[in-house]
Amino acid sequence: MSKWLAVVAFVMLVLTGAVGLRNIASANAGTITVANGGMPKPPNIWSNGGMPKPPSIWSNGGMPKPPNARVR
Amino acid sequence: MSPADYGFWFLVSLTEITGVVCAIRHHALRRYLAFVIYLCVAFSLDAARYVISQTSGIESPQYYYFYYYSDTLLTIMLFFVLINLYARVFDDMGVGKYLRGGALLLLAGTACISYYMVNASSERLFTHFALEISQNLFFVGVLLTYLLWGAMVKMHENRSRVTQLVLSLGVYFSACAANFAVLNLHPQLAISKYILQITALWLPASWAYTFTKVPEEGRMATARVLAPNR
Repeated sequence: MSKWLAVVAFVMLVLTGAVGLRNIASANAGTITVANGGMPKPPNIWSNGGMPKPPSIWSNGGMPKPPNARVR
Repeated sequence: MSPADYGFWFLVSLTEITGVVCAIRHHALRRYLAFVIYLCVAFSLDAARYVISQTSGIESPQYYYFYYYSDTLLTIMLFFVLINLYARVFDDMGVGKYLRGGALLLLAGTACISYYMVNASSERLFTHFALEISQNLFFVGVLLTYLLWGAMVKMHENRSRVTQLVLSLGVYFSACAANFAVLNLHPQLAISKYILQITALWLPASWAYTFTKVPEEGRMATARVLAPNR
């Protein structure tokens, strides 16, 4: 039982750290975007693989808005 | 797509296939099955992305959706590659059951947090969830890699191949996280596109090197002084 509790504690520690780390990494994004005259940040800057990232979806009218840490 | 994009796509695909061939040739297929599956899927998805970009165009919704959904799939697979490394490092301790449970719990927790983040925004689309879970899993990967590296140092782990694989993942996750932070500060940075493609090249290249040059029985010479061979 105590081992499973340790697993749960470890998982929660990692999750907290990961979300915190992500927030730190994108901490100043809001100000920068506003300073650049409303230019949105790229929809997702992760990439696995060699193909280029799709262009900003703001150029395609019908596309859904990507997640934005500043809105949340 | 610019000639540089074509060049990077070709190089990355070639390196992914090279990684698979190296793993098979050096009898690492069974031991490192998760790595080989990742490389095979990455190669297939890169090929599919290329086909879609040529048929529908790089600015098409088809390419956009396929790109990000496949990206999420690859991130989840990378997470399982990392869990495979955990299992390899802690195999002597007989904690496989707890590792599997922890991994599933971590994946479910990340999914829940991602859902909460999407749910809190104005639009509730599955695409947002896919993007969110991909980003969150990446940061989980960053943290897990460094925790594993810390545990390996503490346990005097001296298996060269496992060490190389963990460090290559650490470099990959760190480079992606650093790029994420830099892009948030400078969204218009043109070079970031190529940084992403170079990091994509790094992972299969380092794995191919490890499978070819570092034998399974290899031990780190410096660690041998500190701890007996495992």
